[in-house]
Amino acid sequence: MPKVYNWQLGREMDYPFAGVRPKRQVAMIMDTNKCIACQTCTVICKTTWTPGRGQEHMLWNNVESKPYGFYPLGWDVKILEQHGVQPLDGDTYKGKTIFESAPAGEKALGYLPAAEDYAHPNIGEDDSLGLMSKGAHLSMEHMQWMFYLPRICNHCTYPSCLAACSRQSIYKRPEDGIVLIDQERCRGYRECVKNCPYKKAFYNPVTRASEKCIGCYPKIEAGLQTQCTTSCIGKIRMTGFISTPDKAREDNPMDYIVHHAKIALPLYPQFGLEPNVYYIPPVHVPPPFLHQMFGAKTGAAIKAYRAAAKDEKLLGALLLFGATERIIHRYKVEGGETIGYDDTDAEVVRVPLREPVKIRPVWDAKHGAYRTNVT
Amino acid sequence: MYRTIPMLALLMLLGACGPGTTNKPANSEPTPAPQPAAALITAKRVAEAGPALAPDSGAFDSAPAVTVNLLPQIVVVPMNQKTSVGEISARAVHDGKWLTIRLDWADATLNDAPGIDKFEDMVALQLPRKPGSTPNIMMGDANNPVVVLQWRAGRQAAIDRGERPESRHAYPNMNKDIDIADLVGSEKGSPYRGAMHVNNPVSLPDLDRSPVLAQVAAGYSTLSGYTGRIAEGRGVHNGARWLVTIHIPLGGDNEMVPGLAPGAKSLLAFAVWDGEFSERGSRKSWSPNWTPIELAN
Ligand code: SF4
Ligand code: SF4
Repeated sequence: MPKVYNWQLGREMDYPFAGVRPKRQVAMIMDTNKCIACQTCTVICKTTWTPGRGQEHMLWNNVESKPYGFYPLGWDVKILEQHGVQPLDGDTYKGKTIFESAPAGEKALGYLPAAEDYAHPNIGEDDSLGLMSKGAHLSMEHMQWMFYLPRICNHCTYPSCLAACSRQSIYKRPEDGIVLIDQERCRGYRECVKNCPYKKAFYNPVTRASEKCIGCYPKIEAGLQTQCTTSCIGKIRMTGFISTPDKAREDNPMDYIVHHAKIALPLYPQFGLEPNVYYIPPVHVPPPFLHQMFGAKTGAAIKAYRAAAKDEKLLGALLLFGATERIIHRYKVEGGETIGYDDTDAEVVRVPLREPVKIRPVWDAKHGAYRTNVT
Repeated sequence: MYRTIPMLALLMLLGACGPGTTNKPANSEPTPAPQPAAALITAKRVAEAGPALAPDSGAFDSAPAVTVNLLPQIVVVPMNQKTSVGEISARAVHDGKWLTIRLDWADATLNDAPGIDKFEDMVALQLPRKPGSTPNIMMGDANNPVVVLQWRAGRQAAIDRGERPESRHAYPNMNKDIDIADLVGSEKGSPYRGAMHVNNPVSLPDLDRSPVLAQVAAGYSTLSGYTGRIAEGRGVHNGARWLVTIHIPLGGDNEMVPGLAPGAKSLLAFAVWDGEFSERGSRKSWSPNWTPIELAN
């Protein structure tokens, strides 16, 4: 099997195809601390891309409450159980990926979900960990915890959906790294559904072919961020292009957040797919849980995130979330503002680092009313 | 009943390589080891062959049956190391206009329903496209293309239903509030039908299709759809076995399998999928050698 370099693991790994990185790679950063599980992203994705026949069970974007929420049911605990206990510490991953632990006759570890597994996409919503004992009350730091995990296809650098397809119907676009299923070539074998550990490839029982998130490629081609990003109520997302760490540019907000500030981490990097959605981990969740989910660098990421207000460049990059529909290729912080530029280097957005504070008198003489602060 | 591959065959096949390692369709052509020559299938001339001949027709009783041993496909990944079908019986008749091949094999479960986690029973015949050629058994090679005629139980069930495929065929009790095509009309809603919109042959974009999916290939992993209607077929499940006919038109109007005519010889290879065990694609039982067929004069 060819060897490819996975920077998230800090080492080479086995992959069924020779590693060819795209010219540039679309990526997304999500700040889990800001997500309110309003599901606006889920609904806009659904109405944009999957309102057709046979797509009823498909949520290319979903938001699940962790630790008890899953879509499809139990997706991560099932693959984690197959994967077994793996050593996660250190800069170089010493465990096995899902390709390296492939059973005989398979390209990777995997399983096919049952139809019922898709039936309750909101299962576990807002369930928190631990039983409230009699007399317990909420106290800060509170003893119960949960958080929201929005998920889309990771447009992985080493997609296992692509690796598993026996018809080679899945391809990774060289121009932007978006992973697509050729709808003409697919024969509905569901090897991708079986082998995507994130369960973001789906089978359409009406068209008898498999489908997956298309990374809103018509928008990306037009220089725009994805639907789930631009609709996000919590402004938790940013879509852009990410570099490999050796080519990271400090003036690319994606690179700054992931490679320089190192506050956003891939989901289950130990699977070995080099996923391209990066999560700012929730600050209140017990470290062992986050460690398993986002890898060994979670503690440092949370520490740096908590100090973001003191790092103007980081603050500037974070404040560009939800500020424009256009993809920001370059940014700079200047004069108390963060300024974003598109691919033609034209300014597309300008956001103050700190909101101006205006103190108004309590009595509004014009309207003859008292002003009340409600927020 | 599950069947494991005999150890000898396993050793013979293990040397073959998998598909290429780039993410373009690979050109490498895995070659299983040669097998002993198989018995000859003789297609008897009868008064009437073709689609009118039901799979359980007595007309097949007088045609000699040839039993072909099937092995699990273990040359390329993914594979099921155990498969459920160990042999298939083939009989053939022709009437000068149609060559009808009747296949039957043991399968206790009928799998023809659509569903997210359901797979259908299928059987395929492979024939060389060039008269007299002996292509690589694994989907031919660049100089020796093949045609693969695959009868699909679920495809037949969908055609028999007589309606365009719908979600309720898979999940009759599913509640769906709105469908985009109902909102914007079927033409504007068509792109939301994905594979069907781009005429993927497995999607049954129209019902004027045969339950036999015709595909052509010139090497491993080059299988692609053929839109012409070149073969008919019908399957009947009798509770214990599938009886399936595949009807291939003879003569000039059959551009996919030219040269098939009374007195001609060709080759057949077989593959069977049992939906009950999630067999699909390369997870199948197959005959790793060609079986000769002769059409009686
Ligand atoms: S729209 Fe944003 S805030 Fe709302 S659920 Fe989606 S990711 Fe979370
Ligand atoms: S997340 Fe799954 S479907 Fe998306 S590219 Fe990775 S392996 Fe493929």
